[in-house]
Amino acid sequence: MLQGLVDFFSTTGFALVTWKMLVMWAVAVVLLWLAIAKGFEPLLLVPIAFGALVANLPTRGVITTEVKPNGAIDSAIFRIEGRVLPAEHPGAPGEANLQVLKVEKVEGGLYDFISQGIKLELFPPLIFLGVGALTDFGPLIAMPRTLMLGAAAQVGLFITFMGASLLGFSAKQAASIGIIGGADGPTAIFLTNKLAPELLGAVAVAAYSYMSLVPLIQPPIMRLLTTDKERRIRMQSLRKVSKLEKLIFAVVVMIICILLVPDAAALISMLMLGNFIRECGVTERLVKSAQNEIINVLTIFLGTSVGITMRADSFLAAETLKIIVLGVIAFGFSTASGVLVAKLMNVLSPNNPVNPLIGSAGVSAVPMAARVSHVEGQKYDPNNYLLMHAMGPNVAGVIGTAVAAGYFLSTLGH
Amino acid sequence: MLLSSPFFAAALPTHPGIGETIVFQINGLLVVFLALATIWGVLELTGIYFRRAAARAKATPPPAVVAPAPLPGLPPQVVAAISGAVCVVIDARHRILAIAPVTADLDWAHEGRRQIFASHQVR
Repeated sequence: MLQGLVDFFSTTGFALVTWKMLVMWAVAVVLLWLAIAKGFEPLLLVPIAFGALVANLPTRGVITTEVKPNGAIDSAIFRIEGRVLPAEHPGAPGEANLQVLKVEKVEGGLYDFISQGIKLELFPPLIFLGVGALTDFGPLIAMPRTLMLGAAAQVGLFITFMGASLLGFSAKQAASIGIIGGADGPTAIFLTNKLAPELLGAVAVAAYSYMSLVPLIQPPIMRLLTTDKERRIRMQSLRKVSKLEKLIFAVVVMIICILLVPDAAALISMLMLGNFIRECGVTERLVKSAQNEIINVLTIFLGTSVGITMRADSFLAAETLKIIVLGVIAFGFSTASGVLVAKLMNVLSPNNPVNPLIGSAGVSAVPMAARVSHVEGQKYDPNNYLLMHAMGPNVAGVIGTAVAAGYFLSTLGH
Repeated sequence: MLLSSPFFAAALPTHPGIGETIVFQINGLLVVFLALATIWGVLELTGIYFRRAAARAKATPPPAVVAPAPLPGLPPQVVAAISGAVCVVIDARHRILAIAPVTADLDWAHEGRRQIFASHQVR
């Protein structure tokens, strides 16, 4: 009987638990605490943390991981068994014969297949479809000069690119780390998966953690760079934007961005498709699906797929710590550059000033960053409503980050 | 397209030097600013048209509201309130021909069913 129990124990996972796994359990618990107790981006941090916990358990049938000869870890691999069938119609001399593969068996764990949504770059563009369906570009169309604030907030990306390069990361890795400053999770995942998939877990966790920490990171920088008088600036009311204008905007932005950076086409086209079906007014059911079911289902799969890449052996490395530090630097520079460009705009256009607090909303954490601008403004003038004004640079930041990602892909991804 | 030009396509080494990194950064920022500035320009141009159209619409006098013949016993304030509500809800030119009380034969359930069916594609 005892031998039977010993035999059974050898099949359990207890013997496979390592101290690194225990550390990752603690990391997962901290992320869950931030999400549940503190309310920091719970929709994303909960699936990510749960995925991280699963990744650091001795699971079977969840995800397959292989260590390559160069030491790199490759995960989410599934096995296909098949036979090559003889060609029925041999090609003419000089032509390659068409070979037919008959697939007989496909083996893999649950997340070997679900994670293909990230590996094949499906989830981030589809999430952008939902983001587009949820976003009102009206404030940006009413005050298009705030596009420059969205562009300015990308400065942090490029400064961090240099910082990461100096710390020894390769150019592709540096670009993946820099994109954290854009505060756009799907874009960060999209870019990192293409350029430096080995950093996916750390970059995604840093990006989403900092997005959730926007209310803590941004206000000190905003206060440091603005005067009391500037924080009280009241902006002119936004004009009403017609439906036709919004439709033209979606199409024009898509055309311009894709012509300029074709590598961002998947993100931009889905974003604008989502926005177009929202604004056209005749596809109500599609909009509801994009705003709810599609984005919610994908958020679960994206979050857990990212979390499941956080294996102890790859996550507990000095690089992760560097990425976390570089991420907050990127975020800080993006916030600061947005505020400073807003101040510059006031110098150039003193008759129609912008409140520099909305400059920080150029990072694309929608709508959190805009809300932070509004809340900060109200601390100094309770009757100053900056929210809609801040939504302009906020959504411009989404476009700006996608363009920056396209630039990195165009120059480094081929 | 632009990024496939030789200017931008210069391959960055795996570990670029500071000079190469700075050029890379400046180029990247230029691309981002160029993209968003182009969109800004287009929005300003289309905005001019739409602002003028809105100003023209404002300049035209509001549609004449012909006061309907009041029901016997209906106070003029109620007629004014109903006319005002109609004016707010209907943007296009309109004329109120009559104001009638809701009758018992108005079939709300029927109208609800009609709306549900109208929202589905007929196969």
